[in-house]
Amino acid sequence: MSRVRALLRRVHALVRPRDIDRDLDEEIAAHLAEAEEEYVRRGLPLPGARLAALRDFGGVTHARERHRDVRSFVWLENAWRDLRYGSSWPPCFRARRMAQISIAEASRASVAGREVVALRAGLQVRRRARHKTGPLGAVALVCPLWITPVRLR
Amino acid sequence: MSAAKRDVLYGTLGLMILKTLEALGPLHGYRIARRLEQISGDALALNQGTLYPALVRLEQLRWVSTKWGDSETGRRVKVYALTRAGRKQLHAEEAEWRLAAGIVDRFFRISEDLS
Repeated sequence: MSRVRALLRRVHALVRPRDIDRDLDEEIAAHLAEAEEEYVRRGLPLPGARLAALRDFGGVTHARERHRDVRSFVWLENAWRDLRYGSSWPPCFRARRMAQISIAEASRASVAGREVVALRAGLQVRRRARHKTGPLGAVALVCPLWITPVRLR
Repeated sequence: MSAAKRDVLYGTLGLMILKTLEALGPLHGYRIARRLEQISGDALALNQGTLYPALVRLEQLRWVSTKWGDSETGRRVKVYALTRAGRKQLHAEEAEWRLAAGIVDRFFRISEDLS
């Protein structure tokens, strides 16, 4: 039952992340202010008290990130944020950006594919060189890997 | 940080928070952190920021409830209180902890018994 409750709370945190972030920021600010005030009461000057409060807290950003990790499904929250960010663009920009991403991805895949083919070809040439061409094989073996495919093209 | 200070044993922070809330009643984050340090005789090296992920976990499990209130200094703070489920969990964990500590203690006493 406790796990179901925790899951429901996480789902809630997923759909209302800004509210929870705002609450946490307010909570941390109050915490630091209370700590600072206590150090001032103990006789530290204000800048020193502020530093001491921050030192005791041990990293505000880290605490925020850990809080986010615990309270929700981080990967889903990130994906949701990206989706919302993307959908906030005007349609023409969205279409252009989608096209850019698609072209970039396709060209990357194409280059990667060609590199694999070229590398395989290079390795085959090397093998052949090693097994059949005698002394030339040694030359092929000492050539940097990227030179062989370029020559093959 | 003093070298004599000990890190909080993994998994025990939640238990310590529940026990503090049981003993002292509803408290806000900073007060919980200070109480933990004071109860340990300032022997614990607690990064106070680690308290908030632990508190949100306890809140998710509904072992603590929260509501916004005012601190002694008049600031708006989130106040944490132990729930009935939290108290039940605390007693169960306390019994388990005592049992585990008792077992380990018996092992430490082996050498005394043998001699």
